[in-house]
Amino acid sequence: MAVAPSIEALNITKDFASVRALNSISVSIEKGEIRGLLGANGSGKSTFMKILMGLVKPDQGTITVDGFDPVKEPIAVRGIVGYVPETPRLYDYLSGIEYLDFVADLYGLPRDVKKERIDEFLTAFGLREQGNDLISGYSLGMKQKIALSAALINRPKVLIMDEALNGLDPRSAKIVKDTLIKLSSGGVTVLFSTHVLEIAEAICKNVTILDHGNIIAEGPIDQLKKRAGGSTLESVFLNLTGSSDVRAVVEELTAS
Amino acid sequence: MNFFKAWRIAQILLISQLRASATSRTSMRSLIRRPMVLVVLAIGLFLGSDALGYFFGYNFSRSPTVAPIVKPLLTGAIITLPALILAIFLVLGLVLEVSGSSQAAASDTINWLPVSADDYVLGSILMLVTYYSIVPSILLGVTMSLSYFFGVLQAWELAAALSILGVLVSSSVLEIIRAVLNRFSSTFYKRGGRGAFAVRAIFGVLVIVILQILFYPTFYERIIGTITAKFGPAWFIPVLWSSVSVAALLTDEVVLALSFAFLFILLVGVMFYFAVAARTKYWVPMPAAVRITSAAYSPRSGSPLLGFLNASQLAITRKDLRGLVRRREMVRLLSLPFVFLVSIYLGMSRSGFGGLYIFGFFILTMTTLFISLAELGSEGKSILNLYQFPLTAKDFIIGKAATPAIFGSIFALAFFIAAGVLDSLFPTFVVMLLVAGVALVLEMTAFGMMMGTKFPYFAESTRSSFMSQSAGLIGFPLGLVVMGSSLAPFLFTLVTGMSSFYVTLGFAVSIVITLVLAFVFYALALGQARKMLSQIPGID
Repeated sequence: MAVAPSIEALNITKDFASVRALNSISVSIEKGEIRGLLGANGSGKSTFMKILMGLVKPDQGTITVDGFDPVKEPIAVRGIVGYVPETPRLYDYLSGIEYLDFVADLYGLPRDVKKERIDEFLTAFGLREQGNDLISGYSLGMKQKIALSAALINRPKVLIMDEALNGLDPRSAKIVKDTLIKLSSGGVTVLFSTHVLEIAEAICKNVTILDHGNIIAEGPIDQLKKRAGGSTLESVFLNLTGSSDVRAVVEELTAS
Repeated sequence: MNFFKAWRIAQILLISQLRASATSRTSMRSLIRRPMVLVVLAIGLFLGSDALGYFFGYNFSRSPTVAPIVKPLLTGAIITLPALILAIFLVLGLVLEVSGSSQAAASDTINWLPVSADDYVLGSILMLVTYYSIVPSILLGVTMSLSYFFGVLQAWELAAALSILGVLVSSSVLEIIRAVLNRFSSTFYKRGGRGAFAVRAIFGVLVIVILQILFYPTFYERIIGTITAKFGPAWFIPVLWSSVSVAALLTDEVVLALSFAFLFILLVGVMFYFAVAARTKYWVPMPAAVRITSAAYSPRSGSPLLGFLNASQLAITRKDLRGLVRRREMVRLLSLPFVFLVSIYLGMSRSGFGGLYIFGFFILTMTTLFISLAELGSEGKSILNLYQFPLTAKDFIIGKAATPAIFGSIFALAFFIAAGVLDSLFPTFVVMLLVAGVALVLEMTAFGMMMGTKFPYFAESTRSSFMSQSAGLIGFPLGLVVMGSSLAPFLFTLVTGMSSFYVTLGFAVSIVITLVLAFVFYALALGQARKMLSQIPGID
C-alpha cells in the first residue's frame, strides 16, 4: 500500500491583484524527505510556503499537510508544522529566552519540557550567554537562530524554512544542516528555500525550481544536472532560469 | 553647513512623515502627502485667515462700542503670539517625538551618508517648520489685518518675525531633547534589567505629564498675564524674550524692544549651536545589549492574578504587559489616565468634586478604549508570530484583551478608592463605583477588541497610532455613546440626588446593561478575529 505524501499540493494558483504569484503548481513531498525549493526573488517560493502554513489562501487548488487542509484546519496544521519565515519578525522587547518561553506556551508545552528544550537550543546555537538579552540587540544571525529554535521547539512533523540559513555563521549553518538531516531520518519532512545552492545540493535529494510562479524543473539533483547540462546545481539553476548572462552583467557593472 | 543637503534631508523626513501618517491611497490624502502642497496650503490659509481678519478688522475698528473691547484683546494676542507659537511647536514636536515608533526613530541611514550634524539638524528643523506651517499661518494671518486696522501693524511685524525665529528655538530644543533622550535610553539600556525599564517608563510618563502641565492653556495664560502686566519677572525667562520685546514696542520703549529682540536672536543661535553639539555628541546611537536578568532560565508559574487565563492566553498577556513598559512608543498609553486626570483637574473647580466620578468613568473609558484599540496594532509586522503558531481566535482575543482590562481595572481601583478617601464616601458607595468601573473596563475592552478586529492595522510607521483612522474616528465617539448608555441609569440617580434605593436600582440596571453589552462586543470581536486570523494581513 502506497504511503500518503506528507505534503501534497495540487494545481495551486494564487494571484495578487494583476500579478500571478503561483500558476497551477503541483508538488508532492514524501514523509522524511528534505525538499529544496529554489527560484529567483519573486518566483513564488514564499507564497507557496505561506499557503502550506495556512497564512495565505490559494485562489485555486487543494493542499494537505500531514493529512490536514491548511485552508480549513489552519490551527491543526500550525500545531504540527514548524515555520521559519524569510525575515523573522520577533518581538524586539522580549529577551531570546522570553520569546522561546512565549512560543512554547502557545504550543502548550509542559514546564519541564519547555525548560529542557529551551536550554537545549540555547546551548546548540551558542546563545546561552545572550539568552537574557533583549532581541533588539541581536544580530540577524542570532535572530535567525531564535526563529529556528522556535520552529523546532514543538518537535514538528513538518518543517518549512523560508531562506532560514541567511545570516547564520558557519558553525550554526553546519548545525542546522546536520539537524535537518537528522530530523529527516527521524521522519520529519523538510521543505526549505534557499539561494545558497551548495547547501541545497549538499542536503537535498530532490529540488523544485520555480520561475514566475511556474515549476520549471523538479526531481533528483543528479537527473536535473543531466537534463539541464550542468555540473553543479548552480549551473543547472542558471541554465533553467535563463540567468546565464551573469558574465555580461558583471562586465557591464565593472566597466569604468 | 550645506543648505542644499539640509533641504533634501528636510524633504525626505517630511515625505516619510506624511506618508506614514496616511493609511490609504485616496486622492485627497495622497495630495496632502506632497510637501509642496503643505507649503501652498500654509500660504492659502495665511491669505484666507488674513481675509477673515480684514473683514472683522474693518468692521470692528469702525464700531465705537466694539473697538475699545477688541483693541486690548488684540494687543494681548500680538504680545502672546511669539511665545504661543513657540510653545505650540514645542508641544506638537514632542507629540511627534513621543509617538514615533522605536523602529522608525533610529535615523541610521543618515549615519553612513556624507551628512554633517548641522546639515541634519537644519534639515530636521526645516521639516518640522514645514510640517506644522499651517499653525503660524493661521495665527499670523488673522492678526495681520486686524493689526493694520487697529494701528499696531509695527508690533505685529516684530511679533511675526520673532514668531518665526521662535519656531527655530522650539525645533532646536526638540533636537536637544531627542539627543538627550537617546542617551538616556541608551544608558538605561546598558544597565538593563526590569528596574531600569520601570524607571524609564515612569520617567516617560512624568515627562509627558509635566510638559502637559507646562503648556496647559490656563497655566500659560497666567504667565502671559504676568508679561502683559508690565513685563514682571518674565524678562529672565529666555523663551519669553520675544513677547517681552513686542510688549515693549507697544509701549513705545523702542530700545528695550530692540534689546530683547536682539537677545532672542542670540537665543536662536545658541539653541541651534547646542542642538548641533548634542547631535554631534550622540550622533551614532549606542549599541544596545540589554540584559533582563542574569539568573538562569526557569519557567514561571502562572500568576494567581491571571489564573483565569490558559497557557496561550497568559503567554500573550505577559508579552503585551512587558511591551507596555519596555516599548518607548507605549509610554504614551501608560500616561493616558494621568494626562486626562491633569486636564480635568486643572480645568474643574474644586467645589464640584462630586462630578469627578463622571470624569472618572470618562477617563476609564478613554484609557481602556485607547489601549484596547491599540492592542492589536501594537503588534506591527510581528503579528506574523501569532499567525504561525496554533492559536485559536478565542485565545487571541482573550490574551489580547487581558492587558487593557488589567490596566483599566488597576486604574479604576486606584481612582475610586482615592476619590472615596478624599471625599469621605460610604464604603458601600465606593464598592458600587468600583464595580461599575470594572464592568465599564470590561465593556470598553471588548468594544475596543471588536473595533480593532473590524479595522485591523499593522503598519509600522514613524508615528504609528497602532489603530486605523476608521477605528479611531468611529471607535472613540461610539465608545463614549456606549459608556453613556450603559451608565446612564446609575449616573442619573447620582446626579439628580435620588434616594439610596433608586441609586442601587440604577446601579444594578447599569451593571446588567454594561455586562450584556460587553458580552455582545466580545462575541462580535471573536467572529471578526476568526475572519482576521484566516489569512495574514496585507494579502489581496
